Amino acid sequence: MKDNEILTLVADPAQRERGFRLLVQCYGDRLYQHIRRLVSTHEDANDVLQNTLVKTFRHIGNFQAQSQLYTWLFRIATNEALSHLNQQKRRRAFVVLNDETETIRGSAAHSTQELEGEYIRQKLEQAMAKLPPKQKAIFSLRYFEEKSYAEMSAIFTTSEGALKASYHHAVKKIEAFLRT
Amino acid sequence: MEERKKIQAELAQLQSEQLRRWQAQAAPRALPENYLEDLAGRVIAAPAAKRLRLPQRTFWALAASVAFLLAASWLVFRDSNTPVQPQVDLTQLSDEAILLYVNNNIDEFDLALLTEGSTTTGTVVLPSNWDSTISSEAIENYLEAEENWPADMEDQVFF
Repeated sequence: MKDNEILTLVADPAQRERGFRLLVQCYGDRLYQHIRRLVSTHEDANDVLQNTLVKTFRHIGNFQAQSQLYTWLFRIATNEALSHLNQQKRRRAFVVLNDETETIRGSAAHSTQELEGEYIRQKLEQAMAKLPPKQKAIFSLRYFEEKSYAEMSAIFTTSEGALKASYHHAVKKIEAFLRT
Repeated sequence: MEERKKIQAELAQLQSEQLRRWQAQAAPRALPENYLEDLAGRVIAAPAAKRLRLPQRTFWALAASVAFLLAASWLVFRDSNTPVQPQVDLTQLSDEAILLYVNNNIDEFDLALLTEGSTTTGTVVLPSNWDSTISSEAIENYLEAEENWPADMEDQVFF
């Protein structure tokens, strides 16, 4: 298990940096994709991810393994993203939740499947832009990260019932958007 | 994989066919080359260079407090910064004008000088209701008595 290897390395001060790099290699992309679905621009995602990794690097030595490493990382990332969205909301009267002008830059090198995948991602992100921040995060973790309600309950410190209700509402809203 | 089946069943139950078909079909966003490695390196290289970012609320509360203190200080001390009146021929001033000026600037006058002037030169005219039986020493003692000073004047900060 990579988690054990990461935790063993970071526990040794001489190996801490190597362990952190391994952590970023294992989880960095998934963290980025999750954050990106919440904050919508690469610049914001970069800021949020950097803050997440700074906190991770600073506190990984204190990680008690009472929860899974994934849970701990995604809790930090989700909180950072939601804080970022709250700050944006206070700063701006109108928050651009998604870059709806983004178009798929097709090229001869892109396969039909890749283009279709891009299209699907775009449509889903446009639909998710209509959701409130926390509901968006819940939908992202369930639908894209395929996390169970038990795992999400540990991330959000919210009951499974409340998470399920929120996810079901999100599904209804997104489905309605996709039908238009 | 197990969880994906549960999610598929859940979406079918919610009659969400589009989402059920599209699950795991969305392409992830491509990252710039070496993005994560470079980011990890930056985080490791500068762990102390954390983004000093005050919570927005705290920042604006502090800014408002500083602005309030500056405004309050200006209001309190603007009178003491009043420019000195130009010199005028005192003989042309009415007694009331002189008395008003003296009362407004009593701190700048040496009380003894005031009372001395009233007895030797006769040029300072005291108000008609002035109690001339009160000695200058008594007046000075009264002014210096701590309990007669407003409590906040002890901690004045002069800008």
